Amino acid sequence: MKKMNKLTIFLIPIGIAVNFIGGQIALLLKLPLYLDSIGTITVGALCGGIPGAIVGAITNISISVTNPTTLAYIWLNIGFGLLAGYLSKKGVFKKLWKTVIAGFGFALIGGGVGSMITILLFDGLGAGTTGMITGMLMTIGFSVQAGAFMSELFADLLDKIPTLIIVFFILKSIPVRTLAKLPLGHVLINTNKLSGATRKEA
Amino acid sequence: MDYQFVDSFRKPQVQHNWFLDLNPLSKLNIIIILAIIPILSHSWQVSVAVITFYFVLAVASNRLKQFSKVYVRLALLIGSLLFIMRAMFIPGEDTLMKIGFITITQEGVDHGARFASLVVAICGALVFYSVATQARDLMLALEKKGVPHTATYVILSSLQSIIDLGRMSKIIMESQKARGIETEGKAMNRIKAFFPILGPLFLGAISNSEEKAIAMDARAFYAPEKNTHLRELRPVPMSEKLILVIVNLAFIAFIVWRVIG
Amino acid sequence: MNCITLKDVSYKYPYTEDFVLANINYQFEKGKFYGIIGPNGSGKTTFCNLLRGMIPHFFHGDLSGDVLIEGQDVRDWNSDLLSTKIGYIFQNPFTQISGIKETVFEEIALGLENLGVEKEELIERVVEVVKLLKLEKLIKKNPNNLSGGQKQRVAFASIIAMNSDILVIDEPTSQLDPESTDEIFKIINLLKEQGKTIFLVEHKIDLIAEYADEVIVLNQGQIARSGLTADVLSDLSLLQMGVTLPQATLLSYDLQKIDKAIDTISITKSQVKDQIMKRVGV
Repeated sequence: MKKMNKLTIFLIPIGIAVNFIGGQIALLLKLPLYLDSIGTITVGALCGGIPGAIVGAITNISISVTNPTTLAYIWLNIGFGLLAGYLSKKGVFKKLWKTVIAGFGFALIGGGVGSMITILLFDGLGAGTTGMITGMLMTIGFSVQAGAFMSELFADLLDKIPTLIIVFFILKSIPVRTLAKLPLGHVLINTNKLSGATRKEA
Repeated sequence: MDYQFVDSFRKPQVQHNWFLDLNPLSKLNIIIILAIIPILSHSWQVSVAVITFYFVLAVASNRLKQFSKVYVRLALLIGSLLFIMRAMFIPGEDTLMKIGFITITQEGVDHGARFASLVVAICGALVFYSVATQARDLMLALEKKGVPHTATYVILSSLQSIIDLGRMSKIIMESQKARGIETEGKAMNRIKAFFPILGPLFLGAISNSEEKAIAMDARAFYAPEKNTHLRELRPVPMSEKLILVIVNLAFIAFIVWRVIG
Repeated sequence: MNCITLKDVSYKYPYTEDFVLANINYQFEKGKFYGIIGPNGSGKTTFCNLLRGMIPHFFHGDLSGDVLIEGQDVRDWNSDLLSTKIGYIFQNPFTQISGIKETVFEEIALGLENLGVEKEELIERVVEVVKLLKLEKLIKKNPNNLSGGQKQRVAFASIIAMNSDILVIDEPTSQLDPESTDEIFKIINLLKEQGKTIFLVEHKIDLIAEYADEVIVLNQGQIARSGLTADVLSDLSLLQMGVTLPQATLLSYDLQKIDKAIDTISITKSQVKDQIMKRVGV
């Protein structure tokens, strides 16, 4: 970690806290969404896949203290970070429509890998709403694998598309002077709009 | 000036409790073994025994209140959810009860009990470790093992950021409510309320992180010298090392017995 | 002896059009107390980042001209070493608390830990700084839960403890009451007497008048005036730039208008007082 970009080190804790708080606000507002990977994806997009993955990993480890089953799903959050870094390098987060489409990629990790973990570790029946839906699907004739995959993919799509839209607007609102100090900032800086960029330095 | 407090840094940090004062990594070693035993044994009796043992350890280390506060609720919630779902949905020969389209079988109940108690036992390991070890002590132990202080900074700083941003989010939420943004009612309204709460919070934190980087740089965060520590942990006594060796050997013997038997 | 030399220095932030600092030339001598003043947006904070070497090591962008720190070009300095050479305290107390220490005592010790100072010496230095800044009552408190003013004093103490030769201080008293402000200034002056070089950005001009050896006035990224404090702060044309002058300066001009009541223009209250006393013959 010695060679890491100096600002990245200080953004990782923020990303972790935002994952945490995002999830809590979603619960407080009684939203049917997780919204707990905004920090992972944003840091991945700004600083690269590895910092994003670190945010994801530490988030799940710290949440596991109060909800230990999240530890099993640590791979998802790591995957989100890596994917965000990769897509950011490709310039995906510069356009809203591309970002929304990227939501399907994240949902595939969330639903696909997520249901695999649920099947391997929890026999397909996790302790949550998706587990409930899986159970229902099983009673109407689906196999446990198909049931888990369908319910988790659906839940993740519902979550990741709004998540990605929020990430897009966050990235768009970060001032150029901050972006300029970050590893992937140069990709996100919209050179056409720069003439309008204000310098707010005192 | 409280010189007694200042002097406390001249001695290792101890809490005068045999378990709490174990090295954080020794505690981790023991807890990991406790978490693996129920996984290997496939029986709800072993899981329940391990769960009971956490309560015994919690009493012995004077952490019963903190431990039960988190654990009891969590165990009941996760345990019952996992149990009920398995009892309801896992098919089997030996039908116990039929409620509508749901058939509860003996196999489902057995599996549910085994699985729910296993997950609850593993949860116990995590919860107990978190109440019996301070994060800063674990980080100190890791630094002594050669983990760079940038890494431990990231972890300790995230814990504080969660507190800080949590506090801020409450303030922002109240003020958004006061400005008339609906945080209740229709789902769409609640979704719309999310961004004005999280947005300013996140952006503010990002912009602060720049100053934080400068501030920590000024505190010689990147200085090439090997850093020293004001707080120090108790040197691991011989007896602790011995206990660890015995515990680990016993654990290996247990695994061998499981594999052969 | 020069400690920092600026030769024709200009700087602009990345992706921006305008220079924030332009054509800056100055030789800063070791052991002096420099006051840096100027209207909002004149480039004071950028100037601090330049002196501290954050430009070009943290803030990229276009830096031209030479910045020599102890004779060596800032670009050739190892930025990690620079942080141990030049202490930096800035305005916002909230971002200067590390967030990883649970007591004020440990917070102040953090910089020394990073410098690898051995424990006995470390404790002694922290105790010394705690006494100097009268933080005795705070040492056991959690630094994250302090008020803005308390955090500011702790942040100040944390840097002072590191004992660097040069101190760049950007509005250290923004959250403090007048009494604590006076104390901070007395401490800064004490540090100067110990031989440290001080750069201080401060709006409280009366205090600059009292303590600074030289004053640099920045306006639109350029040095508009500079020189001995008494000369610069008696220059009425600064008012047009939006710079506040000491009350004493304005008072002595007013007194001079009245029938040459006093002979010279003074910039501190005590000097004006002496003049008046002389005049009334006490």
